[in-house]
Parts: sequence; structure tokens; C-alpha cells
Amino acid sequence: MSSSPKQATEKPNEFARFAEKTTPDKVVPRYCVWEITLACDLGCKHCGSRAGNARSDELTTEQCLDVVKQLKDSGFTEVTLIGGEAYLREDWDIIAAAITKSGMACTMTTGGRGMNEDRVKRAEDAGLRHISFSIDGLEHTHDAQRAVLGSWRAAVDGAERVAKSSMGVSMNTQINRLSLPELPALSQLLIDLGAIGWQIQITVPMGRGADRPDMLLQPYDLLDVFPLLSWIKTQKLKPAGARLFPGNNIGYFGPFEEILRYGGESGTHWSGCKAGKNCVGIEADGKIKGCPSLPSDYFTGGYTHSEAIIDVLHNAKEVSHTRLRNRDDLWGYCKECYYADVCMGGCTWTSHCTMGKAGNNPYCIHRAMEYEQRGLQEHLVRVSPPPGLPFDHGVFETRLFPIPDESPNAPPEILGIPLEKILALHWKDGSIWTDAERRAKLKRAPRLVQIG
Amino acid sequence: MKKHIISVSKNQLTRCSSCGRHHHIDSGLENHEFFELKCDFCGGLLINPNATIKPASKFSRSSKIALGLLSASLTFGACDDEDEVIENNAGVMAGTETAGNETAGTETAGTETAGTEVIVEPAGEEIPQELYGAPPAGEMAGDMMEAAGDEMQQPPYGSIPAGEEGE
Repeated sequence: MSSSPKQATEKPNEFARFAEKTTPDKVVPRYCVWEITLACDLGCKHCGSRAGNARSDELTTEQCLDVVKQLKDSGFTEVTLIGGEAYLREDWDIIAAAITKSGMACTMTTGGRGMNEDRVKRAEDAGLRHISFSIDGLEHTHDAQRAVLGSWRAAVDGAERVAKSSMGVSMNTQINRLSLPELPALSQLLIDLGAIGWQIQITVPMGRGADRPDMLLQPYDLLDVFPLLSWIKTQKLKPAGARLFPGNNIGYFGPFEEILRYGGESGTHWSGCKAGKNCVGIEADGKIKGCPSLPSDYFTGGYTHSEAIIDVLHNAKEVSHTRLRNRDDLWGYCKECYYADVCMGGCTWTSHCTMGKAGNNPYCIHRAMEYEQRGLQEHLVRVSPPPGLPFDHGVFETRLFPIPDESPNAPPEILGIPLEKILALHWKDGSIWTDAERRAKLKRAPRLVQIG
Repeated sequence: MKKHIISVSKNQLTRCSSCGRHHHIDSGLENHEFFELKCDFCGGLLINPNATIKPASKFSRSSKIALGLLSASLTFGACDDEDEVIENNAGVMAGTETAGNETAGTETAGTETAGTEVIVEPAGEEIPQELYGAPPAGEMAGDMMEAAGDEMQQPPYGSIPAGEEGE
């Protein structure tokens, strides 16, 4: 069904205003995610940027303060500092204080390994509004993914310190085949920590994540993920007053969107990738991208020390692609999808890193449901490994297989684990997996695959 | 005359009364025409003031998970109010309905809707927000807001929106 000429003539004003609001070249700067260093004290096995060592050409303090001024002058209202690990940069709190002093809100996302009393106080003194801790499962599951024993305990301790401060604390979690069955228990941890929000996103095969295909969700796993998230939100978080913030690769469209989408109760739905429209990502060496997660080689529109951020947002084709994208840019399933003209292939980052090109995103609940109706499951198979550089990715292909037969009376399970066991898990239990199971899921796939 | 308000987004999508999936709609239709629309996904009436979300198809994988979770909630008392449990899970149940397997709305259009006026409320202009992702002054997405809102912005990278801290 499409709009009829009758509607266009009889009700011109009710919808015309949206057209004015959504011109494809419109940039409304709001939110900046800024990697201030690539140095990191963790070695996460899903890290898209393969963080660890600082970049050789990271911005100086003076250049960072200029970035702050540019952001403020461009109309940005909030800046989230990330890394690597943001606090490993000596002047992190100087930058944070400058952001706050300029009138923008400053927040931080951290792995939390070193969020000790001193750093919490420095953050508070710098005026940080909020700190989000990355916690990817229960203790042993988290430590295995973060590659540092004790990192879970450190993050939880850090979150408790922040919870006692004047700053807000929240949690963010990667959803993958390790963390998925631990999400209900993890939601209880969030509540017990006094965190007020939980941002979740699907692990994307980028950087080290692309090295480990067995860790990744398969697209058909979304048929488990979405009812589970809906249950967690309505039955666990909402009664406790905590909020769920699905990331941009959790979607797309009804019926779960009403429950999960930010503002979904009012009919809000996904309306396309926001990279370069409202947000900007800046890397520690000054690279400007439409979204911090996007691969640098393909999506860098300029550098903060040589070009004005706002000009890059407006003019660089590497950044404006999301605003100019149309149905002709889509491909595969997404091109023929019922929601193609609105969705535009979902999250650019997810699609590009998974399929090698934006505009065809297999991580979509609508797509999984439609395939299920046809008796099919969509699988991702890695056909090309990543080269091993920061923000790199491999290439995956999708394959369709018939849904395996299952007894209708079999008890519900997720990833082979009975739902009953999943719901009985407590966050103090440490992990739902055995050591061997965790190792298997985190095993690196061979870089070279012999063909034939 | 009874009034039935439907939310239509700027992309002219509304939620199906029967299965909850987003569906294209021509908001310029005559009143009676609304009640004749069928959902492309479930085959039920797209606009049905009397509809309740149908239980999911038992063949759907997500329905099995949703029913298992619902059962667990009721069994273990995860929620004090059983009615609320069912209501809160309505969307989940709807999402698992398999289009074509069960026709959600079989009643004849008009018989249940006579005397009901459909009011289409498009989303207003984008709500000004002091901070990115923060709820605007007043109510963000509560039950009082019938118009389908524009998608709310939120940080893509872990931190929840500044301004949400106090809620």
C-alpha cells in the first residue's frame, strides 16, 4: 500500500512537515562519540578497533581542546569519551572538564578495569554526568571475552564506586553466543548495582570479533534474542526502574519494536542509520566519521586538525552516505524488503562489516521472522578473514537452510540450554558455560582456509 | 460515536491491531475503508478497535521462547500482577504470530466497527530535546501520546543518554 494522490491533496499539511524535517542532506549535530586514545588495559576478543597500544599520532591536549570548541560551536550537546580506554590518556579529565565547561554533557564508556577511587573522583570533579561500564556476561564469561582475569570484578567494583558518587552509572553489553543465555542474570546484576540503564548491541564481526565466527550470533538466533530482551525489559528492568537502550543494530520493526525501541510505545520505529545525521565519531588521531564504530578506511571523511568537523559532516561523501542512501543502494534481501524505503538496510556498521558492503543486513528480526515463515534459517559463513588491522573486517556470506525438525513438545531452549536453566542462573554463579565451552566459542578461526 | 485513534509515523507506518507488526497505511482513506484493510503479515484486520493480540503461532521459535518466559513469570512470580504480565508480553506474543498460518481477524469488516470513527494522528514535529536522547519536557512516550513519535535518538556507543540519569 502506498500513499494515494487523494491523500496528497486532502491532507497535505499533516505529513508535509515531515518532508521538511527529513531532507536527505540535513545534519542536526547532537551527539559525539570520541575515542581519545586507542590505548587499552584489556584485550577484548570482540574488539572492533583491536585496541591495546595508543596510536602513534594521537591528538595533543591543545588539539583536543580545539575539538571541544568545534563540537560546541557546531551545536553538539553531548560527548561520550571512549577508547581504547579513555582514562589511560593522562589528560582525559582535562578534556572532560572542557566539555562540561563548554555546556555540553560529558559521559564516558569504560571497561572499568582501572576505575579506582582516584579516577572516580577525577571524573566527578571534571563534571562527568554518567559512566557506562562494559560488562559482557557473568564473571568467567566476561573475563574470557575481555582476556583479563579479574576484569569483571574490577568493572563491578568500579560501577559500585560510581553508583555512590554524584554521577549516574549504567551498563553496556555485547550480545553474542556467550553472553546471550546470561542476559537475564546480568539484568539482575544491573539492578543490584543500582544502574539506571543498559545499552545492548549485537557483537559485530569487526576487528577481533571477525576472527572468531563461533562467538557471533547467527541471524536466526534473533528469534530467541528478541522475546528474551522483551521479557527482560518488561519483567526485570521496568519494575526496577531501569531502562533498556537497544543499540542501533537491534531491530527492525514490529512487533518487538513497540517494546524495545526507545520511544516505541508511541509508535516510534527504526527510520534508518543515524551515522552522520545526528552523531559523529572521532578517532584519537582526529579522524572524523559519521559513527565511531564504522571502519576507518572506508568511512573517514576528514581530520579534526585539518578540517572543520561540521564541514566534514556536511560535505564529505564518506560521511553523508547515510543521508543520501536510497533503495537503489540496497542489495540482497534488504533491497526487496517491505520496509526498504524506511529502514535503508539497518545499521551501516553491522551491514558493512558483516557483508562487506552497506545495505544488506542479516541481523534483522523482521528478516528472520520472514524466513522462518518460509521454513528457512539464515546462516552466516565467513568466506574471507580480516587482515588484522584496527577496525578491519572479514566478509561473510549468507546461506539459507531448512529449519531443523524439532518436537513441538520439546522444552524451550536457547543455544541448546533449557530456558529453565537460563532463568535459574544467578549472576553470582559466574557463568552458564564450562571452561571448554567458552574456549570453543572464543577460538580463532583459521586465517587461511584451503579451498578444494 | 466511539473514537479509535491510530498512530501513524512520518513514514506512514502503523501497527497492525492483530499482530503488532508495522504496516504501511494510507491515512487519507475514508472511515469505513480503514476497517476493510487487511494486514499483509497476519491477514487480520489492520484496524480493529475490538482486536486483542492473538496468541502466537505455536510453530514459531520466538513464540516458544515467549511462552516459556511467560510461563516462568507466572510460575516464579517475577511479576506481582498476572494481568500485567500478559499485557506486557502482548507484543512478544504478537511478534511470534506466523503470518498466514492463523488468520487473526476473521470478522466481517464493519460489523464490529459500526459507529466507530478512526482518527489518524500523525507524529508532530520532532520534539525538541535539551540533550541528545533525553526525554523532552513533558511526556516522552507514555500512554497519553497517541501520535507515532519520531525515532528517539540515543547514543550508539554504550552510554545511555545524558539526562536519563535521574529517572
